[in-house]
Amino acid sequence: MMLRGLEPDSEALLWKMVSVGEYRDAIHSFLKLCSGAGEEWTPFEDDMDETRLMIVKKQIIVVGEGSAVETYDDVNSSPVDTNIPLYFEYHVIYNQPFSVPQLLFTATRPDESLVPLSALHEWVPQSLISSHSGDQGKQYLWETLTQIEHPILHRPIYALHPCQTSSFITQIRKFSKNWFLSWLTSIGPAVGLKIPLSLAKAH
Amino acid sequence: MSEDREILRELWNGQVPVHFVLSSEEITTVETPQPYFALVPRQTYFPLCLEKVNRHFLKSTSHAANAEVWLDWEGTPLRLHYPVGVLFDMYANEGILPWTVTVHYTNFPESELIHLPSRDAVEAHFMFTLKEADSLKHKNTLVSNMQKKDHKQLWTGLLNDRYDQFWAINRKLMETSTENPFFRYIPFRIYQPDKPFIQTLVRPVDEEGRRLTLEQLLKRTLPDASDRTVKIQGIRVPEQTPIQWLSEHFSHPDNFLHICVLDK
Repeated sequence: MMLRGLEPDSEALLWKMVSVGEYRDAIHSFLKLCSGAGEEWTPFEDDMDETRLMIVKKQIIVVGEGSAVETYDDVNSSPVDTNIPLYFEYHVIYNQPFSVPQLLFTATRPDESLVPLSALHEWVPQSLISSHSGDQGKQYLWETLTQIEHPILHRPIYALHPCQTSSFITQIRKFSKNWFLSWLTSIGPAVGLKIPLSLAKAH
Repeated sequence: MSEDREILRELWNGQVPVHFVLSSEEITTVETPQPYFALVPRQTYFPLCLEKVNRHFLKSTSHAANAEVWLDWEGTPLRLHYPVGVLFDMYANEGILPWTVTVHYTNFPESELIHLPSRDAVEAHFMFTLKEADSLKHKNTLVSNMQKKDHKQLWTGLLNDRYDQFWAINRKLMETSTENPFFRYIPFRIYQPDKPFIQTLVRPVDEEGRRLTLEQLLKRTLPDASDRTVKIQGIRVPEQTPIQWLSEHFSHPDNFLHICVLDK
């Protein structure tokens, strides 16, 4: 199929990706929702480059609460105090090469050391890897969550890979009025991100 | 691209001479260990080729066992997720060879470097970068439609330094047709010392359909740089070279064109 000469936006439409404009609109309406629901996401703009709009949320997760943490002490060599708070910082950015939003995060301990990827791999819920077993499942983890160089800040950060995001968003766009919220609530909890129900209700 | 095949092989075979020195902080023996010298392939990543270096230093430090190795050059931690050749072009002083780097096993600079503690980690990083390049080049991405064994062949080709094995698959990612001789966007990154790399969307042809040259690419991305040396794969490429041709021939195995811009 020949589609030469199309502008990026119309291309995005054809290929079911998310254009920069759609991303920015989605972020702005998401921020509006958040301020109504008392959710704290902070936007960061780059006046020189509209693709670099980023939103950030900080969150503390106390080890021992919730599902994700039972496996955490297996990989931590020191005995784990079950009341250790972990500091999470979530970033949503626009991934230009894949033309989709992308969720990035850091996870640090109170002494500012990084929670290792091996521990985070244990967290990824079984539902995400259920169709893959053994070595294949292990490989799938590596294809899903790794540490990368932050595309805007250029420091190490954990990233959920965007390869499958565009087909996922194409699917949710068919039935969801707010594809961005649906996307974030689908993948965020896999890495500990808490999104209050009130957001969906407010919507 | 067939007539320029030889260039691919020449670039693949590129190696850089490296002089590994164990950091004085790591030495736990009375004697200072001998340095280690090696020719390291330009296309690979340091974490894949430090086994012998680690074995060499193991007897001089009690820190090496199970520790994650990292390197610095004159105090600058080296980003080991960049190809060896890119780090060399950025930091090695041409006049002084071999290139001296310092080996560390403790105090991993977590705020600056990505952990690549295993082959799996390097493979994931490599495949991810390759997919990103593919997504830039083709509307219908090719990598995701390839079979798992093709992915493995690209990876093991790089890992084991097998040119034929790697290019048997990579050829498909570099192919263009007579009806559509251009990639959608050119996957490239521009590196400058002490600055984050630059990566933007650039098409291989301009608005009038003319082939975009390296000079034009640099003018768009670095309008202020004048007195500069530009190296790709260690070579000062004529700036009139079309970037489509460079992308097909001068990319690293991750399918990115890594362009180093240095002060003259």
